Amino acid sequence: MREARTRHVLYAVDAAATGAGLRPGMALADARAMVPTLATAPARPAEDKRALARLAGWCGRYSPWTAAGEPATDADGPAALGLENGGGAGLWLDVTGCAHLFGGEDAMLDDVVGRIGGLSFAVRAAMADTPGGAWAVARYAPCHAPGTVVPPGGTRDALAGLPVAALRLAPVDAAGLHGLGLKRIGDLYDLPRAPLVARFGNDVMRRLDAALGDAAEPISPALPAVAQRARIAFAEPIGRPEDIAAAIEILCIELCAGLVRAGLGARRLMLAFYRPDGTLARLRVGTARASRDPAHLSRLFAERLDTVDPGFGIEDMVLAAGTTEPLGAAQMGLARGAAESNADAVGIDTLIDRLGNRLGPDRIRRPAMRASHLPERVAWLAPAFGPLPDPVALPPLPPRPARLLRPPEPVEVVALARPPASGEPPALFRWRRAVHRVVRAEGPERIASEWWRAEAADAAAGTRDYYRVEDADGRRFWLYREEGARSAASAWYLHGVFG
Amino acid sequence: MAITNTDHSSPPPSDRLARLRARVYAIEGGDRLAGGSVPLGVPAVDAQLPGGGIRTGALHEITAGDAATGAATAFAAVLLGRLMQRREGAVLWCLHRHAVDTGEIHGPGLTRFGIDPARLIAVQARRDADVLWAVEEGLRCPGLVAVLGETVKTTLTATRRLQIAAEDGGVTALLLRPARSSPAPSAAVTGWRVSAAPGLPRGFAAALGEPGAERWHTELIRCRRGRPGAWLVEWCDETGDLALAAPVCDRPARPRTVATFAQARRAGA
Repeated sequence: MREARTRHVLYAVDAAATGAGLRPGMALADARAMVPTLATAPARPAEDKRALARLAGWCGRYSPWTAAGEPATDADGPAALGLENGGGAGLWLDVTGCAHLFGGEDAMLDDVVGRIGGLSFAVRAAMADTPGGAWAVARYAPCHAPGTVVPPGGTRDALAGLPVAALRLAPVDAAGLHGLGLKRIGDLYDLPRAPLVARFGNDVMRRLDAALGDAAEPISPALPAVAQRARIAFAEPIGRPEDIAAAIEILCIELCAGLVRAGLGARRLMLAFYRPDGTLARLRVGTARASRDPAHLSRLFAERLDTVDPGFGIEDMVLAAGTTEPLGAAQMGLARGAAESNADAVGIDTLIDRLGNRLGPDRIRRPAMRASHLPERVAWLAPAFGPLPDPVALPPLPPRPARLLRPPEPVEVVALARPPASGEPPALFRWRRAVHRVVRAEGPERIASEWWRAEAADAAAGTRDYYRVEDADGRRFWLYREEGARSAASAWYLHGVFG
Repeated sequence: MAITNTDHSSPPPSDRLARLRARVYAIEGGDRLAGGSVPLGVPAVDAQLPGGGIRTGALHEITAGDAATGAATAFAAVLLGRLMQRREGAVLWCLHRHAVDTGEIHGPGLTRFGIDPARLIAVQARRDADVLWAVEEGLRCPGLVAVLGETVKTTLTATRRLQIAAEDGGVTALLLRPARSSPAPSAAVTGWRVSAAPGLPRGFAAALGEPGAERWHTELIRCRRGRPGAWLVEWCDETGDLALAAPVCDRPARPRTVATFAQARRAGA
């Protein structure tokens, strides 16, 4: 039931209601008059859509290429809603080359119907040469078995007897064809195309060609389809962590064998766990560098395994390499530095992957340099999961602190007799609530702002005069005074602490 | 096991004590622990450390003596630099901004201590537990020379795990702890407390009122099979050497002017 303008209308009806003569689109008042005991619930299309997307994901166990069909909307008119007249929401599965894994097309379709039916969905399925053909047969075929397999090449015959609405036509087109007496799809086969196109536009012929396989019809999958994948199915759902870990190892070995054949290495991997209740859990791991070492990959997953809730058990697992890179045999042990031995370099890559997968990939960093004069820009911690920046040779610099505050912290310079003049270090400053008396100072080292860089923050920055100062206790600080670029005001900052 | 002594012809007590120590050492693991050691380069300090230096494949703790943590970071960097010069391989530095809150490591500042930043891997951890985990992972990675972890809180169990991992992998572990961290029992082989000490500039630096070479109060507060000690050491940027500071540190330096320094140079030439 849903609200349409000012009245309540039926949104979807079940088989019993259909038997009682109710149809989607009927006013609730009329329906109540026909069936006083009617049980209704408000329609929640957004949730339906989410549930359908979840189910599409779950169907990934059958094929990597699954998509949730567009749910029927008001625009399609009431005829598009309800099982009798074309059914509700649909799922697309491109099972090309997958059926043999399930014991043939008939067995696969039975499995699909059985499992989705087991999740309390009313389901009808069809398998055909084309998406359009499967859609038409699933929704309009008169036979009462929930699953129909159209034999290869049999689409034309299978569609001939179905109503033209089975071509996924706009209701107005379907009604128009009906008006011309063209009630069955078979009626369209031998008609001259030109008059039909002239009358109904391209749509009818396009749908017909797509359904018969004369024109291509793409399906956009819920997840990007991947070439490298491995699947394992269990006779009984498994739940013990040891069993899951063992299954992961098998999957990794299988996937890596495929990667070796293709000369690829995985950068991003996704492991999907299919639970019998139609839900699935996913684990994603990434590697800093393309890898096809099964032991390494399975270890990355094993560490994250505690985040997966097996629920009532796991009956299917699919491991897919989402992102791959060409990886030659020689590259396997590519050393980072010339002096590092291959085994060590691989060990470090493995370590980086493991740290990154547990702590987050952006938390693993490698010091990098770039050509700049500003201390906070010249050296930075670049993400380890990414291309390493080119090394930059630095000119000899005055001593720099081992740690740099990011951002620099403002300090309060306490004036004794007079504020420090330009070119003079402060005599006393307060940093983090502690007062430091400057005993010795070295400087200034002047670093000009990089005005040629366009970023607003830098353009506004002024020239800095750096001082290395020592307080009475021997602590050394790296202070600077920044002259405002546009105003005469200056401010003191602490940029780092020396030993 | 009770040790009784009825033999009157036994060696003098000090000798017996040494033999007992050797026996306890053998029971504790003995030669298994005796990996290499890397000298600090200060003879007085190295002489006090068993093995003549910082033992590799072991856990060492460095606690900051003051809130600024600068001296402790620098001392840890010196140790890392010594280790990195000894052997090829990378160093894992586990940063933890709640433990040491004086900023991120800065490459140009580390090269002074003999560290090649290109050989560093930094981890930005958010919790002590993550740091300890990452350090342990690093210790089991054969491509690393050393691992440094910044932690506030450690436990005896945690440090024992790290010590065992360090022994197994032969990778040296350093823990850098802030001044506010409370002392806890630890399985570390050595424990240091390092704080900044007023410099004693010489030559031009003194004449211009500049801070001279960095000096640190270095206390060896715990040392397995060794005695604790305290030294005032000075770091020399030019030579990359650590040296015992001249014992006149508590006395003000003799005031010298640029003119007298120039005279001295002329006389020397």
